[in-house]
Amino acid sequence: MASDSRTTLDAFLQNVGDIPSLPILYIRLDETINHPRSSIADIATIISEDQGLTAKILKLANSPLYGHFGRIDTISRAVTILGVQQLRDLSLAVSVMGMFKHLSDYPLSMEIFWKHSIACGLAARTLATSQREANLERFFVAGILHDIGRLVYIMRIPEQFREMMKESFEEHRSLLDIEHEQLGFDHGALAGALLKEWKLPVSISEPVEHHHNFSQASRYPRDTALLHLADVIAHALEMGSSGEHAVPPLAPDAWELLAISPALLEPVIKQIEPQFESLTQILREGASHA
Amino acid sequence: MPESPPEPSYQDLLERNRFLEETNFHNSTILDVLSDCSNFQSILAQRDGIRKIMKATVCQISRVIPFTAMALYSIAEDASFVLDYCEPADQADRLQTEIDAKIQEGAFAWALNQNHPVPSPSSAEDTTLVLHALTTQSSIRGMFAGILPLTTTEIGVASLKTLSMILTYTTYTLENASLYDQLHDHMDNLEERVQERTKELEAARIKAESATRAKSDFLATMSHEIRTPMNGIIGMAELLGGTELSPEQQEFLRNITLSADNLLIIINDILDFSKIEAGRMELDLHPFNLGELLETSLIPLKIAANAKGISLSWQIEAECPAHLIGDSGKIRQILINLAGNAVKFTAKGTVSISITCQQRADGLLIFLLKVADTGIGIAPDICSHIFDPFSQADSSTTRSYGGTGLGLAICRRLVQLMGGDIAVESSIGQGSVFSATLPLTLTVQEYAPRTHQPADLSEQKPTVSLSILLVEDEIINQKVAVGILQKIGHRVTVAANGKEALEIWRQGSFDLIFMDIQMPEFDGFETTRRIRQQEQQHQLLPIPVIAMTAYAADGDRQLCFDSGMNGFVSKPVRLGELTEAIHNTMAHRKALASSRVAADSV
Repeated sequence: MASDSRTTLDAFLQNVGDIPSLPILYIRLDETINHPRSSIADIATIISEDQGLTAKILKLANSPLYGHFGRIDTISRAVTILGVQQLRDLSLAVSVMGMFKHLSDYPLSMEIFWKHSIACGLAARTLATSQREANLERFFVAGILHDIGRLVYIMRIPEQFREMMKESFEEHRSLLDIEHEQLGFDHGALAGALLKEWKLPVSISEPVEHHHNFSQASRYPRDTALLHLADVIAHALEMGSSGEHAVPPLAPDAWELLAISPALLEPVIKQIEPQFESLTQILREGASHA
Repeated sequence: MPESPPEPSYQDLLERNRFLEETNFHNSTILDVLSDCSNFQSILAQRDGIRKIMKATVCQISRVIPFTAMALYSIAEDASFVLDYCEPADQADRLQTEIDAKIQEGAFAWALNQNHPVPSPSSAEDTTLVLHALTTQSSIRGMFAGILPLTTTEIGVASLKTLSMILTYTTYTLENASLYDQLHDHMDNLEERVQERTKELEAARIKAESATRAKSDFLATMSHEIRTPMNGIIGMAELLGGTELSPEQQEFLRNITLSADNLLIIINDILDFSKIEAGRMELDLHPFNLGELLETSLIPLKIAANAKGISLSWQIEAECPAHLIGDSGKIRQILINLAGNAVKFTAKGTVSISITCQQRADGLLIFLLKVADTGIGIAPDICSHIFDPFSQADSSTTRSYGGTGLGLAICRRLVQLMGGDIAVESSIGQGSVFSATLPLTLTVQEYAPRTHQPADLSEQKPTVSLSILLVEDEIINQKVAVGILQKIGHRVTVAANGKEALEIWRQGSFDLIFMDIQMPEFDGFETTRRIRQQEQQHQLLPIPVIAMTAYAADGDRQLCFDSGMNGFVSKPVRLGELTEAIHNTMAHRKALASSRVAADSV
């Protein structure tokens, strides 16, 4: 069955034209970070070329998300204070969001869509913090990107997607199941393929690919489980939507693997709720609406 | 695949080449560094391992990053930061100053909560202080601080990444070290606790042993303490019986005697049982004659049976050897118990005792003792419990027939002690058959049975009135013994302890000594030993010494003979036993004296 969906997915990717590519800026940023001779100044220079990106990163850096004691005024300070990898991941999140900013609100409101993705990113980051994970921004960006597969539906098969959403709503069935029925794969697999195409780290692409089928995650099961849980939390808190009207079920083995106490959920949610609004404001600033 | 530019210029290619070379060099250096870091674990095992690791860490870092000073701090128990290692050592103060400033700012606390390097301008121009928290997934262990001769933004991204990698390695290794330390502590503790426990167990063992000893001492003392007044009661009752009494008084006396006898049986049962339970019962193996044993044990019972109107008979299979080695006292006890029960629980009919024997492959003889009666019988389901202590067929049995319920339990223990077993077959109204197997061995020499008549010597007058020295410390026992001996017709002098006894014996001339064993200061054995010593010195004919023992310990018998005694009677002393003992001892002495005379005259 997996190989079937693979061919269907490949066919889908083939038939529907160009796959969007990552912004050049991000690619250059990534290369520079990996260059043995790059300095902090070099990183700051590249980011500074994009004013929108710069503004957003500085706003994020100064937000309660980080709770830094002093004001961060420059990108280079942001780099030293927040960290190089961290800044890269933030830039990725902002860049990808920017890629889709021209999408219309049909058949799904972009505001609502991104709200869900931001909620998921925030939830993933908060959970990761509670679990003392090393790279928090990695989880943040995975959350932001986890449903972009649905954006591809909206871009390439808007009518069919609208029909799928209608069927899901009227017949009280999960949109995910309908995706599998009609397409032979789900938006996770689609997004995963996209991220791999963009040569993003497997630590991001695998959790995104399997955030609805946890048991398939082979290299990063823990990160995948965490992202899956973050998605469920975001749905449960009804912060935006990506077309699904019900909360997807939480995979029991994902929960078991995380070995998180249920008592942890309340403080996590208490942290998410106040930060959600300001984060959405920062990230969605300048987005055009229909 | 990213599209390559259509026509790379020469410069482009050169640049690309340089990039690849640099990247390659950088990557190999990092691999080298990481490979060296992977040896940190083995450094742990060495002496001063932690310090060595810190030194190695700083060394690896300096291969790729040009720090002018580096220091490692760890968090102490009071949450303050302690300098663990600094290179060069003279930079320690400078680093401390920089850190203090960052703490003030809040930058130190911030850096502590990240797990990436946090560079910030230091106080000196064109230098940067780099802070990096030392954390593992489970805890924050400390902080790294280093000074770079660069401005903050000049710092290479790759160096920061490498610094992170090395410090992560180091921190996990140090965490391992502290885990090992904890493990060692635990093991040391464990050893300590094992030692403590061993001491505790040793103390408990000593306590238990002394408790056991106390128990044994108690048994011995109790035996003596109980039998002494019993001796008084029974002895006095006997003496009373020899005086003028009205029929009514005689009837009362009979009841007293009966009660006293019963009480003695019960006391003996209890003391025996306690002794067995304390594991203090030992076998006293000696030669004896089987036929004689049966006779002496069963004749009194026969009299009782006849009085009841039932017949009691016994038979030894012809093939059974008569001369054996075993504990005749215990066999007697078993016989009397089983046969006594049979008589007790039979209203009419017969009680028959039989002994057969079989030879076992290893040369041991197994004797089968069977006691069969035509009495009231025992229900089959009770048969299996009848040998348990404190059980009788039912409580009404106790009321009608008396007893402690210990007799059969003691029998079983004694039989088992001798290496055999006991069983019963019975049903209500059909009588019972008790069988006991006893392994015994043959004796090499024949044991000449005593040919005397048992009991009834109270009827006879002694042929001669002897001068007897009675050595006894208890007043009541003195009175009893004196009373009986005088009744027989002997003259008695009393010594109240061993010392007195020696003096009186030396000065007087006695025919016989009755010696109590349990006495303060010199006990009976010691007194006898001294007498024998002095007799040897002065070449005197040894005086017969008869022990009066409460049978507290089986070893007594051997001890009696070892100390030079000639015989013994058991307490409480009775007329019959005393008479018999005197008779035997004097007869033996007569024989001894005449053979001596014969020898001297040769």
